[in-house]
Amino acid sequence: MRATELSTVTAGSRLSRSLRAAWIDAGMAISGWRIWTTLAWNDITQRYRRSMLGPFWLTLSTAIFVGALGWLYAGLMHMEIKNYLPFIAVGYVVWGLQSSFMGDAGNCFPSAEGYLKQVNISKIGVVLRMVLRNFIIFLHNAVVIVAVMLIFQLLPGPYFWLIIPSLLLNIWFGVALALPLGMICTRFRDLSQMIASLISVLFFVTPIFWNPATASKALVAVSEVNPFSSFIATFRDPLLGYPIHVHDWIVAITCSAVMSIVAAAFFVRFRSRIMYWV
Amino acid sequence: MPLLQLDHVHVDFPLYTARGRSIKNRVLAQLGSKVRQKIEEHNQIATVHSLRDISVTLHDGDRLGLVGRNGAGKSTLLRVMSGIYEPVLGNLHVQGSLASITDMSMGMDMEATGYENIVLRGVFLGQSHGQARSRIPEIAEWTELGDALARPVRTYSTGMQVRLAFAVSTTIRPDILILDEMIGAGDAHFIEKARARLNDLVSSTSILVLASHSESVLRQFCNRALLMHDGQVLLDGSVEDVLAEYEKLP
Repeated sequence: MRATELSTVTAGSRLSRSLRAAWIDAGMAISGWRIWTTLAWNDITQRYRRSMLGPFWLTLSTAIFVGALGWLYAGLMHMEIKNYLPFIAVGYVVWGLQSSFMGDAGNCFPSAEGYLKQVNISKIGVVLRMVLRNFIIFLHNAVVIVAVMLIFQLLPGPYFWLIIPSLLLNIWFGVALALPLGMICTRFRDLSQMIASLISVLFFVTPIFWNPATASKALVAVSEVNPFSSFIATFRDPLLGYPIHVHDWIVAITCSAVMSIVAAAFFVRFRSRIMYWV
Repeated sequence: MPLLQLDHVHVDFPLYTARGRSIKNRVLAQLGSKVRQKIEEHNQIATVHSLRDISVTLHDGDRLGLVGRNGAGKSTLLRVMSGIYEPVLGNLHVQGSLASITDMSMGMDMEATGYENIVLRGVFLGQSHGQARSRIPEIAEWTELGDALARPVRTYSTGMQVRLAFAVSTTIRPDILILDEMIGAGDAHFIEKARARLNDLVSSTSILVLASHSESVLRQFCNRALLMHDGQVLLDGSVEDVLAEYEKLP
C-alpha cells in the first residue's frame, strides 16, 4: 500500500521529471553519437566479414527483383520497359528504406539488450543505430538505380536535387515512426510479426510497381491515403524528371511532423519502462 | 565532490508471461465484456518487488560492499545506481563520472577482432576512436594476447575472452565505480594479475560499490557494507558487522 501512496504524492512532478529525462536521453544521443554510429558501422562490417560481397548481396537481390518484375510487368501491362524499369527501380529501393525502418523497429531494443543492461546509453541512439544501418544498406541498393539510369541513358530531372530533402524527410519519418513502434514491439512481442505481414500488404497498395497515372480509380484512392506513396514520390519524381506534385511534399512533411509529436509524447511517457520491457 | 545518493528507491519488475506479452490478447480482452473477465484473469501481470525503500548516501572515500544471497537484489541495486533501471519510486542522485562493470562480456562483439572490440568498448565508455586505439599496446601487453588480437573474438578460449574483457573494462578511471562479482575465472597467474589491476583501479576511484560473495574480497576492498535480503537493506554498517549478521541469516 505504501508504494501507491507515495506515487500519488510524487505524481505532480512526474511529468516534468519524464520530460527532463527524455531531454537528457536526446542529449546523450547527440553527445554519444560515436556509440550508435560505431554500432551501425559494425553491423555493416559484420556483413562484409563473412562474405566479400557483404551487403551487396542485398543489392544483387534488389537488382534481380527489379529486373525480373520490371520485365514481367512491362509485358503484362503493355508498358515500355525503358519507362517502366526506372520507375520500379527507384520506387522499390526507396520502399526498401522505409520498409526496413518499419521491419527492424521491433528488434531495436531487444537486440541491444546486452548493451542496455550494462550501460546507461541513449534509447534514441539505439533507434538511430538501426536507422543509420538501414540507410547505409540503402546506399548500397542505390547502385541499382544508378545502373538502371545508365543502361537506359536517362538523365536526372531538372529538379533532381530535391532527392536530398526527400531523403532527409524519409529518414526523419523513419526515426519518428521507429521510436514508438520499437517501444511497443518491445512490450508486445507478437506485434513484430503483424508488422511484417502489414509490410507485405503495404508493398502492394503503394505505387511501386504500378503507376497511379495509369491505375484504376480504386487504386488511386488507396495511394492517396497511403503516406508511403508520397514519401516514395518525393524521391522518384524529381530524380526521373516526372512532374512534381506539391501534394506529395505536403503529405510527407505533415506526416513527419505529426509522427514526431506522437513519438515525442510516447517517448516521454514510456521511456523509463523500456528497460523493464527488454 | 563525487556523490551517489539513493532516496527511498523502489523497483518493481513486471513478470510478463507469453500471454501478457501479446498485443492480440490485450486487444481481444478489450472486446466483449463477458469474455473479458476471463481473459483478464489470465492477463494479470504479476510484479516482483525487487527493491524496497532503499536509501543510501555515498561520499568521497566510501567503499561499499553489497552482501546478500542470490536474488537479494544486489545486481538490481547496482543497475539502479548505474542509471540502467529507473526507480519506480524514489530518487537517484549522482555527481561525478560513473562507470559500471556488471558483466564483462558487455560490448564484446564475438565476430569482431580483439582490436575492434577494444575500440568498441572504449567508445561505449565515452572515448574517441583515437583515444580507444591508443590503449591497444597496453592492453595487448597486459593480456599477453599478442597477435591473437587480430583474430575474431569467437575464436578465443574462454580464458582469453575473460582476459581481454577484463583488461578493456578496467582501463577507465571514473569517479564512481560499480562492480559486480568479477574475479574468479581464469588461471591462478591471471587472477593474481587481475587482482593487482583491480587494486589499481579501485584505489584511483573516489566511490566504490562492489557486490561480492567473497569475504576476502569484501574485506580487502570495502570499508562499509550493506546486508541485503529480499530487496531490503537489513543492515548498513562495517564490513565485519555485516558479515557477522549475514552468517546469522536463517
